[in-house]
Amino acid sequence: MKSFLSGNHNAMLLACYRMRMRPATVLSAFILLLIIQIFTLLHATIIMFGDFNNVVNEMLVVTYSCQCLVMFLGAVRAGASVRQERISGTLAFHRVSPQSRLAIVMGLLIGAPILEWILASVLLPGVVLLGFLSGFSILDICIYECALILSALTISLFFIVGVLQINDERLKSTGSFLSNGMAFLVLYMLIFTIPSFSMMGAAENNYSACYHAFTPYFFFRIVEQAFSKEISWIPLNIALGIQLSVQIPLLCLGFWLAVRRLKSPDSPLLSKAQAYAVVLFAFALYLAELINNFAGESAHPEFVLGLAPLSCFMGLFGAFMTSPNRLLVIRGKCLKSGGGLAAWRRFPLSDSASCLFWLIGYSILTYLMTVVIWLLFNTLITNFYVSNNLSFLLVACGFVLAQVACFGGLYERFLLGRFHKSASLFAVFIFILWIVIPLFGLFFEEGSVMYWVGLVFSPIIASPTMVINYGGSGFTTGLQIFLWSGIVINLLLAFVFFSSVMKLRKRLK
Amino acid sequence: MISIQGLRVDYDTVTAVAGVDLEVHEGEIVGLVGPNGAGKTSLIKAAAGLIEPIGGRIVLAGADMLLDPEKGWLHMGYMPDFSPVYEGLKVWEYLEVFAVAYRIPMQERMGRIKYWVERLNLNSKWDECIQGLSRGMRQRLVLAKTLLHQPDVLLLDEPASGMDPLGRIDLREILKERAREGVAVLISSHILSEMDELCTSLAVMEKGVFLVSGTLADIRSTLRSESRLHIQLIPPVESAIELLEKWPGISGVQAKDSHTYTADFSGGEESAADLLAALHHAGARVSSFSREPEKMESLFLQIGGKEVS
Repeated sequence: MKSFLSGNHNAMLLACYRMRMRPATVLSAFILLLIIQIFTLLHATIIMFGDFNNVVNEMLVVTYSCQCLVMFLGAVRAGASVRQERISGTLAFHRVSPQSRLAIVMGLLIGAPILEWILASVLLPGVVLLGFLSGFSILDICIYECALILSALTISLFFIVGVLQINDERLKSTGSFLSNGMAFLVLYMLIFTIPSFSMMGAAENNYSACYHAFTPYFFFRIVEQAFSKEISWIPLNIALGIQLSVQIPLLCLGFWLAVRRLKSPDSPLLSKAQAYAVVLFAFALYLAELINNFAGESAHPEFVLGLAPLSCFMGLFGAFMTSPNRLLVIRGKCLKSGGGLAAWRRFPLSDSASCLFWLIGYSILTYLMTVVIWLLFNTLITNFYVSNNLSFLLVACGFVLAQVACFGGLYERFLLGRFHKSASLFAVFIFILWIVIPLFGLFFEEGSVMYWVGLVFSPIIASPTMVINYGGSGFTTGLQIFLWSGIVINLLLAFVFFSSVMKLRKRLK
Repeated sequence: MISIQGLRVDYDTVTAVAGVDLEVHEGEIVGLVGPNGAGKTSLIKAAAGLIEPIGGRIVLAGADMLLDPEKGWLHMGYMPDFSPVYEGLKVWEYLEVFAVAYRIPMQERMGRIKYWVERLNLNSKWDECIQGLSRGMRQRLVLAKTLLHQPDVLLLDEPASGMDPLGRIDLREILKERAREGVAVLISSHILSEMDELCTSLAVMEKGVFLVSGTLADIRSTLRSESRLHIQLIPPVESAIELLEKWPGISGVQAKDSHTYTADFSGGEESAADLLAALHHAGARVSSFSREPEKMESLFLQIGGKEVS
């Protein structure tokens, strides 16, 4: 670890340090920070003249906000540095040097935002002093700072991973890169905001894995703690514990993904093991939220049905990320045929394997989750409404898994066949199938044949629609027919696609 | 030192390298020649471990690049056809970064950096930001980085592109010097005349395969290429000219001045010796007789015109 964090041993860290720590750059950053602090002090003094406590509170909040902002800019900087490294080709030089891949990632993670880290640490004494004056304990301040550092590391690492995942052509185009960045940010916000909204009213006094685990929570909390002093939220140390239990696995996952990308950039975006790890992580978060939600007074029995859209989303994500490309299929053929190619053990055959194998494992995992939920709510938490929902959940999960299998087969057939040259055509086809046809179907009367037919092949619209429909009308005959026929049709199509995939593979052999 | 067996590189629908074999031994400089898109860069990148081939085996300095790439990278110097540099670093800082990357002991680092900066005439740029360097200077800097850790194997993809004539001479001298010290060099270039002077053997690539490979002499004999004769005669010259025009394998006899003549000659060494003896027997007074081999460019054009077998 020491060698990873020393410029004398970590080349990437040294390069970032040399570039970012030029005296002129550092000086201008410090001056900018000083100006912000002076203006804040003036503003607080003028507005709240005579009220010393409020001046201190405002200064504390602004200083902590500055730390948050600077750390976030550091994370953006880390992503931008990886992009620059890839475009200029210097990352390739690091890749063909005898450094460990982990050292390169650590160098980027710590080195690229090093100036921002130093600026944030310069603000630290200010936060401590203002915190004391504002009545915070030393433990509180430590917890707020730990939460911030952990979040900054996680976001930086995920920016790095995000930029490593983008292919070269998209990376070189600034517009494409920015749109990818925006999409990433929106996804990040959604991931953290949706659970927060879902917890509103239900989890304020309870423990929410999603809500308490990310930076905005601590930011809003410090504001409330500074001004109102009436803390209705959970103890701060428990909130930090939740954050550690979520973000440390996320950090490990981030390192794993980044190291894999540096080792074999031509492989599928995720290995099958990584895809399973992501799914397990998401399911664990969901389960934690579920337990938390039902432990509270205001229980939402329908929340258990969230597993259906979640398994749909994670299934599509996994099928997309683990599908082998044509190159890997050919390599898989070489590996199988042997003949002097046994040396190519670095690329495991599983990477070339069809995503069908991943989908089977994923289906088992999803059904294990439903069994866990069923056991939980029939033994530990006896809840009639939830038990009643489970029969629908089993069929709904089967339906979304069939849809995912259908998409996985189609996507793999597309990649292995000649179609892969026209990616835009595939995107248009999926857009029509997933968005246009279902929206057209929704114009028809609810429960009519046309209404349901439009949804058969659209996982993203069918999942929420069937849950809403079930919430409104229950498990009606129409819904049952739709789900069972959807399962049969999608599985038949998946069978056709995967059979075709297997034939293609045989031909490649 | 460099052993490539059955290397195959595919890009989506295109096969860039279609199963080539190549051996570069200690002290050899092997040139890769071929038109754009022939697969030279793909071959070098795959050998360096930058792109993943579909099949084949690559061994650099005894290290299997797929089983133990770190060991291979420790002994390998790679230089691409453009200059990947950190614009914001100074010349010595850039080299220091890669000295750290290649685990050069701390006490040796600055000595080695200074040596290569001097050797590549970058002294005046020592403390300058790379942003202000010309393309040629950047190429020199990347070359210094490539040689910094004293690799046993050099993979150079058009290293001379963008260099001025002095830089090219330096490059040639350095590579010859490294080869004398036992380094195996694989170099691709479009500057064919320089390859002619530098390489011990050549491999001509097109459409992902080697059309011809071997030493220059081998390639010439394979192609039975034409050479140009330069003959200086002391008058009278008529009988000598008459003999030249009748001699099999000679065409296009031209007078450069009153007593210097040139002709295209398609025979080998023995045939040239026979011609000289015949001229002597015919009473011609030959003051100079030389055979200028076909230039690399002409060879390249000849090879390029042939179909891939």
